[in-house]
Parts: sequence; C-alpha cells; structure tokens
Amino acid sequence: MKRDAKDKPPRSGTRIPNGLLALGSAAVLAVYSAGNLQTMEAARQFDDQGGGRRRPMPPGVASAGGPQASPPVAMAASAASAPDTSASLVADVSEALSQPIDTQPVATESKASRSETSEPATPTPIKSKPVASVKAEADSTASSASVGTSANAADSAEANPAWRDGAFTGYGTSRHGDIEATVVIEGGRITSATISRCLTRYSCSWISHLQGQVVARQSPNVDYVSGATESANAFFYAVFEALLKAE
Amino acid sequence: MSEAYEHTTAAMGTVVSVRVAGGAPAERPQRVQRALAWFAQVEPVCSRFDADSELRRLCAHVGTPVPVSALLFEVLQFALAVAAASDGAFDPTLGALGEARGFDRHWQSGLPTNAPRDTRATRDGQRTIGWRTVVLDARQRTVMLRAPLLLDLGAVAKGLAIDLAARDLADCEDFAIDAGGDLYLAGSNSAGEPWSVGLRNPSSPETVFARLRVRNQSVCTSGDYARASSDGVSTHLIDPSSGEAATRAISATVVAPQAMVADALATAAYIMGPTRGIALLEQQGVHGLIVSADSTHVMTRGMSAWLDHPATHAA
Repeated sequence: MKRDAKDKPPRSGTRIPNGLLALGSAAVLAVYSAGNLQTMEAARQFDDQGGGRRRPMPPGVASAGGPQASPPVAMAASAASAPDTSASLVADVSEALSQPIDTQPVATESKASRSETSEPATPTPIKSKPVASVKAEADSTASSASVGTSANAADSAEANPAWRDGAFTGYGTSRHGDIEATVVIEGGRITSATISRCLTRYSCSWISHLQGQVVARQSPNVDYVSGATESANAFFYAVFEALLKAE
Repeated sequence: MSEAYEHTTAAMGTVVSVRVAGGAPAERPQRVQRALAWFAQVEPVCSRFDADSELRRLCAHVGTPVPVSALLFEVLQFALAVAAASDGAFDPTLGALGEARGFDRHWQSGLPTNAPRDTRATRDGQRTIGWRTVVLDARQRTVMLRAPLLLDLGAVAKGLAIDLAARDLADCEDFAIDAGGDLYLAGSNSAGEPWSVGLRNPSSPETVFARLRVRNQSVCTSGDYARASSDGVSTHLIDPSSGEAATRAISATVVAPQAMVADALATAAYIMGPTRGIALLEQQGVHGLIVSADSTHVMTRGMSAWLDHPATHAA
C-alpha cells in the first residue's frame, strides 16, 4: 500500500508544482546558460587590463549571444581604481548639501554592524578598493579596521584629482521610485549634488527632512541587514553613480 | 580560515557588494568580479531609467509582437507570473503598482488624483494599464504591449541579477551578495555559522527588530518606512483585487531559495497586506514576515525556524 507518499505534507517549495520557485529556477538557468560566456570573458579582460578607467556602457540590447564585455569590466574597474574616491565622496557630499541626508546604503550598514565602535559619524559606505588591498577579514575586528582605513582616507582627501570637472548624473532607485542626481565637479571638488529628477511617489522634500540616520552599528552581531531601500538611499546611490562617471 | 574577499560597486541604481569566503583564495577577486558582471548584464536590458535599454525600446512599440532577448523575456514572464499569482497586487506595469500601493499622487506629475483605485480602469482617459495588456509568445520569444505602458521590472531584475551571481559563485560554498538590502547568503559566515541577517525596523530604521539565521537563502524586504513614521496616514488601503479595505503592511520580508522570487514576493506581500500577503507566501512555499501598520508581526508558519530570536528582540 502506498498511502504514505500521499499522506506526507509537501516539502517547502513543492506545494505548487508550477509555482514561482520552479519558474524562477528555470528562468535563472535559461539566462545563465545564455549569458555565461560573456561574463567569463569580462572577468578575463578585467584581469588583463589590471583595472582601467570606466568606459560608458554601450547602449541597448544585451542579446544572449552578443558580446557584452565592456560594461562589466568598466564598472568593476572604475570601482577598483579609485580607493579614496568613495571615502571622500561622503564628506564632500555632506558639505555640499544644505541639509543633512541619510547616506547609508545597506552595504555599509551591514559592515558597520559587524564592526565594534570604530565607525565614524560620517560613514564611508562604498568600499571600492584595488584588488590587492581588499581584505574583508574573517573576524569582525579586522573588518572594522578596514572600515577605519576608509574613514581615514576621507579625512585626508581634499580636492580629489581623480574627478574630472563637469556635471555628471547618476540615478538611484528605491521602492518609492527613482531619483536622478546631478553632481557638479569644479577644480576636482564637488560643488553641488542636487536632485535633478524626482520620480519617487513621495515628494523628494522627504529626503531633506529625514534625520541623518546613524549607521546600523547599533544593531550588533548581524552580518547583513535586509530592509526596504529608502529614497534617501536612492539619492546617495545616484550621487555615487554620478561620481563614478566623473572618474 | 583564510580571508574573505569583498568588493562593492554601484549597479542597477543601488549599491551591490559581493563577499566570497570559499573557493581558492587567489581566485576570489576574479570570482567576485565575474559575479558582479551579471548586474552589468541585466541592467542595460531591464532598466526603465536608461532610454536605450532594451526594455525602454520595447515599450516604444505598441500593438506588435517584438522579439526580445532571452533575459528580458524571462524577466517579463516571471513578473507576469507573480502578477497572476498575486491576482494583480504585484503588477510590473508601473502606474498600476503605484495605485495598488495606495499612492494618491500620479507618479509622473505629482498631482493628486481622485481616480478610483482600480488598477485596470482607464486612468488618464487614454490608457488601459495592467499586467494583462502584456502578451508573451514563448515560442517566438516575442512581447506585445496591447496598450502604451511603462514596465517596471525593478524588483524582478535585481533579484535575477542576484540569482545569476549566486549561481556563478555556487562552487564557492560560502559567499554573500547584498544588493541594496536584497540578500543572497550561501554557506556560512566567517564564524562558521549560518549568516545572521537583521531586519530593519520600519519605525526606527537605524535599528533592527529581528534577526534571522539563514544559509543558502535569499532575504528580501519591501516596505515604506516614510509612511510608517508619518502622522495622520490611513493605515488602510484598497486592495485592488477585492476593492475592499485591507490592513496596510509597513514592511514585508521574504526568505526563499531564490532572490528573484523573494524580491517579487516581498513586493507583492507588502502590497497585499498581512493576511493575503502571508497566504500568498504560504501558497508559494516560501517564508516571510510582515510588519503591520498596527505594529503586529504576521509570519508564515515555518518562519520561526529562521528567526534567531523572537521578533521583539531588541537589537
């Protein structure tokens, strides 16, 4: 008698044979198989170049068979080539803006929450380091040291010669919608960082009213934090992307 | 234990970090870059912000089947499946999504709208929107928009990028991907334990209200913290599928083996509210936790297995 199989409760994920988990799994597999060659090539080129300057992303279709080497290389390379840019970014942005904003992307918060108390009041959210020096140490005290290193770089960086003069736009997204930021660089320094397009459901005046939120180091002993992305974070992401273009 | 390698960059309108602790140490930098490269592949296809994206160019054609890449087709197909599963609460046609969330301002103009909260109704007099206006042909791999609309694939696209990166890193065993708070965590953290994940407190976003312990799972959260902390805001919205008032969710967190699923269902569950949202998660065989406007927490039956501490744990 084979009643046992029928009486067993379904395992998680198998409640609906054609449910979203099954569909998602098939989708990921299909896309991964189609695109795998491109990312391998991109990673190889990244190694060969040793990290070059960012090139603009080519427009349009990332068709399954087409080459897509430049964007991955450019993005990663730019992030790696300016170790101090991100650190000084936050300090400069905060000065340029007339009102405090929350500039805490989750990535920083997760790392800061692991660190003990060495996180500076002005956070250094983006760790864009050359390959050689990026070491997220196994234990939390070491990771707080790496965060501290970025903070020191923020203090010492004045005008950042890695930034070209001009106006650069970037965008950030949250579940409220998108924010486009325009950053103006003059003499290698940020002179303004403004919201050039506000596509959030709420008015972007919300951003100026948000109190500067302390990094989630107040939540110790978590590796990462999951939370909805707020529009203030979206603004920061937009500024960060704009500055990547200025490199 | 050898050192982990981590790299952080901007991608898809958010900050993405990939941390690899497994695999050969000398290869970790390249593995991380290769994983991040997937975000750069997904973005030019699915971005609604980039005028040259494949998505935007698709949306310029109305009434005809348009051949699309495998990536865009899969993302669209999945987004529409979530729309069907959530009975329209999750809807990748942008305007409908905004209305379903109860936003009372037209998303483009910012002007208040007195339109009835029906996602399928004609809104500005010219358009009919809603996920059913998108027609897919799997054999031809074409997409037809039966009416002009702007698709919002943000939740699904980011989740897909995370899943692609995770698949790329699968042999590394211990790694973590964090894309603006949407996570995929594999293996163990540096202490050899399942990864600990704090859930941001909606009313006090610099703190967490609960902690999870997960391994080989994605954790994604959808929410509206501004609403949580604002005064005088109605805690009810009109459920677009039932037309009835439903208790509002402030945030919804989903734990699932795939980020694309977790991301989309967190959005859907947030919109649907605690009762219907949790029911959807149960139906789909994933787990989650919803914080209600009245500050109660509603969870799927198996969610407590992921919790490190009770929901009232003070961080």
